[in-house]
Amino acid sequence: MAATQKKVIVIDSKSVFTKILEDAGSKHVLVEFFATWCGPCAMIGPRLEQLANEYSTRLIILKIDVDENEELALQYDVTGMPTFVIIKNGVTLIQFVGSNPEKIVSVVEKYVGKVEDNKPGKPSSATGTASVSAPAANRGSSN
Amino acid sequence: MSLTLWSSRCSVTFVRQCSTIFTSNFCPGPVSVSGILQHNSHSPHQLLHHQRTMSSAALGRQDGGTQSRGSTSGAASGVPPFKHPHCDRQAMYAQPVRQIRNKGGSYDYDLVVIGGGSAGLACAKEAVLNGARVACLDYVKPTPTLGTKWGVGGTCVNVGCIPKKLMHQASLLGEAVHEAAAYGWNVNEKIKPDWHKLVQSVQNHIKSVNWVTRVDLRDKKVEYINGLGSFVDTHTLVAKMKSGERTLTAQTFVIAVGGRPRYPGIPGAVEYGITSDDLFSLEREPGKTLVVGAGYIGLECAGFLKGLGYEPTVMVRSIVLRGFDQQMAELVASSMEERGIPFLRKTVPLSVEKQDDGKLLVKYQNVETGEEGQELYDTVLWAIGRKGLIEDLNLPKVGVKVQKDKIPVDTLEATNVANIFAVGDIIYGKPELTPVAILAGRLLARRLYAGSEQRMDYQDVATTVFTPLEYACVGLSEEDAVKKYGADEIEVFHGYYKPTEFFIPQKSVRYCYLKAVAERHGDQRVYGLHYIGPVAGEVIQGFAAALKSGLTINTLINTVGIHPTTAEEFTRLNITKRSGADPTPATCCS
Repeated sequence: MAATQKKVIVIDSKSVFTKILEDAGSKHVLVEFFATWCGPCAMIGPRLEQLANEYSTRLIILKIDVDENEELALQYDVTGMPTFVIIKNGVTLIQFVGSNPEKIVSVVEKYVGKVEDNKPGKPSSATGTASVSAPAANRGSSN
Repeated sequence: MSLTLWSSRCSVTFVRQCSTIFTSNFCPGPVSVSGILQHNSHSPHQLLHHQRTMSSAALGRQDGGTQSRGSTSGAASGVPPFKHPHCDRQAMYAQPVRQIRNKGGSYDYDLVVIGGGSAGLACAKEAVLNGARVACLDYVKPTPTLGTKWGVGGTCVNVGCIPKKLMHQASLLGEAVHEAAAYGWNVNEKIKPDWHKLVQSVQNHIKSVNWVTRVDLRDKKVEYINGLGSFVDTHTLVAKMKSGERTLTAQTFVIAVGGRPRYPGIPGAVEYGITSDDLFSLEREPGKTLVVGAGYIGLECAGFLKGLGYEPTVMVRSIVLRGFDQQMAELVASSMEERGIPFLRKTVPLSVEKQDDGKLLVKYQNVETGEEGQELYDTVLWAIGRKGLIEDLNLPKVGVKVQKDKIPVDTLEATNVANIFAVGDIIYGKPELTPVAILAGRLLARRLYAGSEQRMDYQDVATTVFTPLEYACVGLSEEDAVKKYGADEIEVFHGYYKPTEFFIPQKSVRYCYLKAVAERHGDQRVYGLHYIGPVAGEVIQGFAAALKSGLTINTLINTVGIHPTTAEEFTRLNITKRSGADPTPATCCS
């Protein structure tokens, strides 16, 4: 949650994960379950950083190493990597597997809204997304 | 020109089944769980069918006790039941399967398997499939020299067959790049291997298999315990884990702890020498390496190290590839010497000392002449044999008999203690091979929980030595056939051959050789097949099934070969050793 160079947050314990979900409020959280030895996970890494920057006000992106966080991997029934989960208000909205950038972007757009909606003053185009008024306000989306 | 290992021809089945990691967009979980670990094509369905065929054959035998048992033949009428020449099936099946009340008792588990390798996992999963409550223990003690550890899956997956085959492939690919130039490719022949990248790729693959193994155990409801097991009594085991101790009780135990490499008892051996346990994850480049030991592990390691540009030397105390056909063993050694791998024959190491610059000074002695010598190496690799891991089990507590450092078992894989069995590399006197361990583990579980009668057949197990020029064989060696039947009752057909692809790059064909050891008279049943050449394992696998079905020389030479291949040379065998004729080929295609 701190403003660090890398926007994607690496989770190293279940308690950190739980806290971040709590603190997210009604912001969307995108979780990537990955492994250090997983090639496709390494490939999608930069795109996730980019998404984290593009959606910095509306989406928190977390990375969880399945070898280091077995309990969490078990909790979300992760078998293949990368597995992506979108969580809002503690509820899993969607879970899917695969390092497909187009799919990830389209899922994020579906649940969080398009990238342009981040820009202040631009009318909202995605369904169910709250209109963004002042850039300083951080109301989050309403869906 | 980068050759990535992802797109190499991997033998791992789950990669094949789920498309290669490189081309798919995710790292597969156990979507299709059959055959992940064993790297053979046995699916539970195929084996189940085989078992049903066998069971009906077994039932058929109950009325006529003296008739010889059919082995693989089905219900084909008019075909006399096959009597396997060197396996007394009647005796093997004379001892009935012990009927023990083995499910649903008051113990924590019906079955506790000690060891999560090829044998243990196969047994555990098959047991669960048949309704047993199973726990599987696995524990890896770090190597004494470098503290190397690995995940669940056993020797084959982590520090055996799999990384070995990948490194062998890496070294062959290096060779292939040079050959490509002769075929017209504009390659930069000054290619260098990147050891660190190779190790990382290999380790990544291994870790993915560890992961799939863990998930598979969870899915199959086998409880996995990362702990070192030792017996308290015949129904109680204590598991020492990182987080503490845990006591487990079970109706039945299966010991599948496997083995680890031996260290010689000489100064500096443990402090400065590594083993195959360390080699496949070695963080530094091996450099100039002394491989002590000329069994298949030593030769395979020396072989791929040479192909990767390092300078291995093989130190041999007596013979090469003990237990294998010695004529073939010597041809393999010669093919390696031809490639520039020196062999220090009749030599044993005396000590290893570390120099100030980090190099290792090895002092050695010729056992025949007594002459001593010394040499500097970057790495010393001990490949002098493997010992069974009986030491931590506390076997004396339960009275399980051991032989040397292994556990002797009967045809049911039972130890001398009624409810304790053993399977895999830990058992005494059986081939230490993954497919053997897997099949034996599965059959054991079926006998325990599915009412099967089928025993493991350890005869005629095909195997391959993955030296740069590979050697594969099935059945008897020539010397064993002579010992068993007498030289007058044996005919050996042999020949050198020239693989078509070798001509253009002018690869040496000097050691491309094969032979069939057969009955001299009558049907001329084939007792053993031996082949040195490319893709030896692929060549021999099919012939192993033929041999098991009762292959004869007549059938072999009347089988039409596939051309141009090297395997077809078996169908062209016509020169006998006895004739003294020159086995070197004159022409091809006739």
